[in-house]
Amino acid sequence: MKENIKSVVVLTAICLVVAVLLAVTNHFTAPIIEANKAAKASGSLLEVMPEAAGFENITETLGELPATVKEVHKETSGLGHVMILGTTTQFSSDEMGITVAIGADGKISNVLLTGYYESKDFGADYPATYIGQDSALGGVDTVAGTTFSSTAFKDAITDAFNVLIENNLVAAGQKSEEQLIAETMPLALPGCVNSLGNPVTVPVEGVAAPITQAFKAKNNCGYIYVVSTDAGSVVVGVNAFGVAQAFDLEGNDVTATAADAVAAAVAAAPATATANLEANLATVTNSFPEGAVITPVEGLGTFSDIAAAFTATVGEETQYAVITQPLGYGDEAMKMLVVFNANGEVLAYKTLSEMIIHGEYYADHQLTDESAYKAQFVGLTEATYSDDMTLIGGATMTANAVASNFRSAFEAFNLIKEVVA
Amino acid sequence: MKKLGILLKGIIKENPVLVLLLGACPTLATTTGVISALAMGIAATAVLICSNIVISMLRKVIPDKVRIPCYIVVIAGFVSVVQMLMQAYFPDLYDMLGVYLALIVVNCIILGRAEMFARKNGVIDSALDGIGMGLGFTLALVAMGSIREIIGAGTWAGIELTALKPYAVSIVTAAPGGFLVFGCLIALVNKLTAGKGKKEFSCEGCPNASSCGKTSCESEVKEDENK
Repeated sequence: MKENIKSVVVLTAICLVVAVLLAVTNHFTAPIIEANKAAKASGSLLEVMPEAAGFENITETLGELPATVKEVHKETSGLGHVMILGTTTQFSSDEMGITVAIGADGKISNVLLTGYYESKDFGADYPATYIGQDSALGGVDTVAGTTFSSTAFKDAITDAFNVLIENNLVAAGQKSEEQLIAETMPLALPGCVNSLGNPVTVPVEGVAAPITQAFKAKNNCGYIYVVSTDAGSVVVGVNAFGVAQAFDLEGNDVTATAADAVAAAVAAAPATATANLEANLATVTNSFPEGAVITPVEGLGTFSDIAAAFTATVGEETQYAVITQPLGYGDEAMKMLVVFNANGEVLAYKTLSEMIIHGEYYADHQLTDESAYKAQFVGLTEATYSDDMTLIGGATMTANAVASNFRSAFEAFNLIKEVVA
Repeated sequence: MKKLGILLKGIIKENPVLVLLLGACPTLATTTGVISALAMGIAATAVLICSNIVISMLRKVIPDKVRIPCYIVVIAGFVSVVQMLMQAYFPDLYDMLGVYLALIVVNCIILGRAEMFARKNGVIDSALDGIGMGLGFTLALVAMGSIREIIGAGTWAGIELTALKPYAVSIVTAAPGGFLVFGCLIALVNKLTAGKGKKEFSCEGCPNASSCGKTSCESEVKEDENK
């Protein structure tokens, strides 16, 4: 009994002494360990904002953040914010890591690429072009050849700015008129916009007042004009059929109020559908039996990637043919033809340019059976068609173009029925 | 002279890793590089010396029945102290050693020396034993770490050996290479000591001796054979 008590007492005493020893050690080491942890965590933050006194993680206090914004750290002496961003593109499943420092003046003071797994490098100098930019990002562009990666980078930075602006942490930068015009162009003529949301156009030289700038859609779906009015610049989109719509630089539809601007644009625009009529007519004629009477449709009010539309009288029956030019791989226009019967069923679907535009990324990809792929759309109507049917593994941009073609074609069919009626 | 003997025996003659074959787990795990091997050796040596001293001091106080729990508490206490100090002052080494630092608590060398030596000897002798055994452990680890890093990665303590780098055999830094190098070193030490080590590997140093009741493991075998 005595021995048992002694055992308990000795073991308890040893435990107590050890506990005291640990408490003393902890007392001295805990602050250093905490400081080490904080220094480690703020290592990459300090790299982009070396003059920072300290950082406070305010991610949790900002409500719901875009998927690209991972962490937001506030510099404790009021120098600004450092944000950790991550973004993906279609070319890599690994995230591109970005650490960006945005000063209290709303300008990027530094930006660092912490992870880059894209198949093509957009150049070490590219992130540096963002330094000094405000939320308008007026002085940066995407990089040709690595459009997806550089667009993802730019979008992530835009998301970062939006988070700070929405939470009133920095003031929004003033966008230049040039930027506002670039942002309004997709509204004016959606058909010339690629899958990244950028208009693909060629500038037109020799414009006269009140038109200040003119652009021709690369896929022949129309023209975009910037017209100077008393109320400021107006962006007018003129489709392939000479129909126009106008937007002011805030994105409001001003087709009705800016009638003069619309008239000036329409007068300046060569109706591309008419200009390319011969070639398109020949294409369509070949797709119908001999003796079919083919008439071009005029004044179609759609601003999609439609390049031309026709009605065809085949015997007793009236059919409708639509030529679309959606933008596919490498922003190349892919010419396609869809023929409908009077009930809106697809009678034929043809591609008038090469189906898959072979590119570096898709070198190994071929559609194993192109005719079967196209045949699956025959017989469909707007109700039975779905974008999912267009998927081609490894050729996302081509598939997107096919989907865009069908959406435009169904929309055009409905409009043609109205116009013809 | 006797004290010098206590200090030196741990280095080769009774090297804890290569002769007594204790602590194989941290040995294999932390010898992928010289730096981590050295850090592990120093950390274990510090714990070994401190625990040997404390256990030797308390050898007359600690009742036999609860001696193992007492040793474990003392050792765990010192390991936690070392862990906290490393985390505070050598955070890189702390990250490098990871879980193996905490596992020093169950390192057989430390508990083994407490049981075999410290509980039967005076404070100074126990401290010398701790230093000797710690040195032996550290030297064995550094030797193994050097061989594995040089052959396996073509570097030594992170310094690139340009002549060897292209011929690096990466399996040596992996687990199979660890066993291979371990085996070779044991063979070498056996050759050097002509198999005369393991002096303390008798009932005297056996943690099960009190419950076993036999005078030696050999006699146990013979008894079994007689049955």
